[in-house]
Parts: sequence; C-alpha cells; structure tokens
Amino acid sequence: MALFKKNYDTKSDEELMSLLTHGGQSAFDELYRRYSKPLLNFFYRLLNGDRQKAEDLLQDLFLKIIEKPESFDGNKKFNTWFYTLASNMIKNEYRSRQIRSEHEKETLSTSNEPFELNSESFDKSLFNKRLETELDKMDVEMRTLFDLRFVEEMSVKQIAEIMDCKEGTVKSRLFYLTKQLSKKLMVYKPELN
Amino acid sequence: METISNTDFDRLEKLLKTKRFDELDTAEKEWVKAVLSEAEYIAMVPLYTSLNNDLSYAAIEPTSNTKTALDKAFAAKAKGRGLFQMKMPVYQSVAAALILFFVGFGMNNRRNVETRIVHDTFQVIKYITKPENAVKMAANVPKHAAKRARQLITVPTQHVAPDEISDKVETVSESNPEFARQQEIAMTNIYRVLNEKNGSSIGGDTVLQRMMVTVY
Repeated sequence: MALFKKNYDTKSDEELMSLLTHGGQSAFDELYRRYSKPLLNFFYRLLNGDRQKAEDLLQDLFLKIIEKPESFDGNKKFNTWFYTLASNMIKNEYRSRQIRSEHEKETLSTSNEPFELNSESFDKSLFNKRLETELDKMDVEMRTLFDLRFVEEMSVKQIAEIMDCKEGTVKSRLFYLTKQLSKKLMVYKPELN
Repeated sequence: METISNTDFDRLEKLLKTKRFDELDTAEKEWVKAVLSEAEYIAMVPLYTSLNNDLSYAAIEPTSNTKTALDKAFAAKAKGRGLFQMKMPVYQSVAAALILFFVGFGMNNRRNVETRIVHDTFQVIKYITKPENAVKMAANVPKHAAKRARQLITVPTQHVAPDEISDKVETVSESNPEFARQQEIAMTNIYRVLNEKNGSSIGGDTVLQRMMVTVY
C-alpha cells in the first residue's frame, strides 16, 4: 500500500488545496501542520498575547478552508491568500472588541515607566519588551504590516497583495513605521541621543 | 507620512540587513544621513537582523483541542459529501438530459415501426384420398402455437349436414377470432366438396385441392 501512498510533504500548498477541494483529509492535515503554528503566533502577537482568542481565530480560519475550499483563488499564492484571511479576521476582531482602546488603557501607566538602562546594560529582552509595547500602541494596519514584514518575513509584493495596496504604498508605510519605532527605541542607546 | 522612493527604500533595506552603521563606507554614510539620522539607522538595524527570533510572543504551539475540533468538522463535511451533494458542471447536466431525451425518442420511434404479424397457427390438409381418414388440421402446428389453439377435425365419409358436423369439431381454444373465421371458411369448403364428390377420390382434382388448402 505504501506504493500508493501520496507524499504530501513534498506537495505545494496550492496542490494540497486542490486535493482538499476533493475531500483529502491528508492534504488538510499537511496544511495544518505547515500553517497552524505560524498563524497561531501571528494571531497571538496581534492580539497582544490573548492565547485563547488566538486559538479561536486559528480554528475559525481553518474552518473556512474546510467549509469552502473552493473559495481559494488559484491565481494567488496560498500563503498570501491565507494570510489575507487571517489579517481580515484580525481587523474584524479589533473592530468588534475595540481591543485597541482597552489595551491602551491598560498600557497607559506602563508606557511612561522610566527605563533604567544605559549603553552597557543594553538588554535585548527589555528592548523587545519595549518594542512590543510600542507596537501595541499602533493601529491594526501598522501592527499587521510590521508583523508580516519583520516576523513572517514576507516580501513587499506579498504584503501588498495581502493588504490590497500598491507596493510603493507598502514601502512608504514601512519606512514611516520603522522610522517612528526607531525614534521610540533610541532610548536604549543613550549615547546616540 | 514620510515618503521614500522605491529604489531608496530597497537600498536602505539592503544596508540595514547587511551592515551596522559603523560598517558603512563614507559614501553610504552620506547617503543614509540624507534619508534618516545615524541614531534612527542604528535603532532600525535590530528590526531587520534579529527580530524574528527575539520577540517574546514567538513560538507557542496550538493545542490538540483545536485539531480535534477541526477533524470533527472535516469528518462532518465529508459525511455530507454524498452522491447527491456532488457538484456537477452545468454542461454535464445538459448533456445528460439530452442523452436521456434522445434515448427516449429513439425507443418511441422503434415502437412505431410497422411490424409484420405472423400468425402462429396454420392449416395443412395432408390428403383427402381416403374419405375414411380424418382431415387433420394444424397437424404441423408448433408447440407454442398448439398451446394457443389446437383443433382436431373428423371428416365423415357419408353425406353429413354442416350442422351435424359442427358438433364433432372440438375447439380447444377460440381466443383468436381470425383463426376461428378461417377455420369456418375452410370447413365450409371441405363439406361442400365432400357433398359433391362423396365416395370418390379427389386426388386428381386440382380445383378441389386449391379450395381445400388455405394458406395463411
């Protein structure tokens, strides 16, 4: 029987989606294996560490491809299409729960805390903590843009497709975003100020 | 929002990914300073070099509950994917309908084709050379025809009125009215000839023979 067993791990995402459309459980399992962890972390980061909600969104996302696999646009890369769905879910979540305003209230006190750091004691983990705090203050568009570029390490072209805008717009937004962040994060390098 | 040209952005990203500020040559430093400050460049470098592995949010694993719930949903979907739930392109539906139509049309036409009716019974009069012998009708009738109608006629040697003879005709089946009519004609002919030629041979009489033989 091993002769007839399909080797799913060598198939492309698009081939797996085609098999899934015809009811292939193994194709679904392989897609889940590839994307469940990155997408869970994507949701987790954008929801400011709300693990339960991240799991719920992950489940909802995969349910979409179980229920309507034919909605996949074969002209797009699966990766891009899947992250487009995910980022739309995040936007909806932000809208429905107004998570931004809630979180801003929570972080208002912490963002003004003084950082007892100098150039010698530059601590990467604290740098990251500060970065996350700054990211949490951003709107969902910028937050998603940052995540897709610097965590998921997607190309500008892919991000443009996901965010439904021109590549030039993505580049301008990224430049603005990184410049704003760099101004906030310069505090960790006092000798540069 | 501050803008940057596509080419400048690509060049800046390339530098941020590959070089710290102090590694830039003079020309590159000059170019960078035209776009952003030295401090901004230094603060940007970590974003491009080591961020992916550093964020504290990274690397959580999905729980098994999520996969279990999805497997159940998948099984439920597969269960509902029966023969009648299968999606069929419109052209296939139309083709199937046309095939059914033409098959039905063809079958209907075949029914209207004129068919020859072959009677399942016939009469043969073997000989009437000896008046005492009986004239047997339907002597060579096949079995299946014999089932439908079998008839044995005894021809008397003496002059007998047709009324009297009719009592001796045993009719097994009269379900075929055409058969009955032909039988009646034949019998009438036989009795008329017998009455005319009573007691003599009719073997050489061709007219008589013609009258005696009925062909279906």
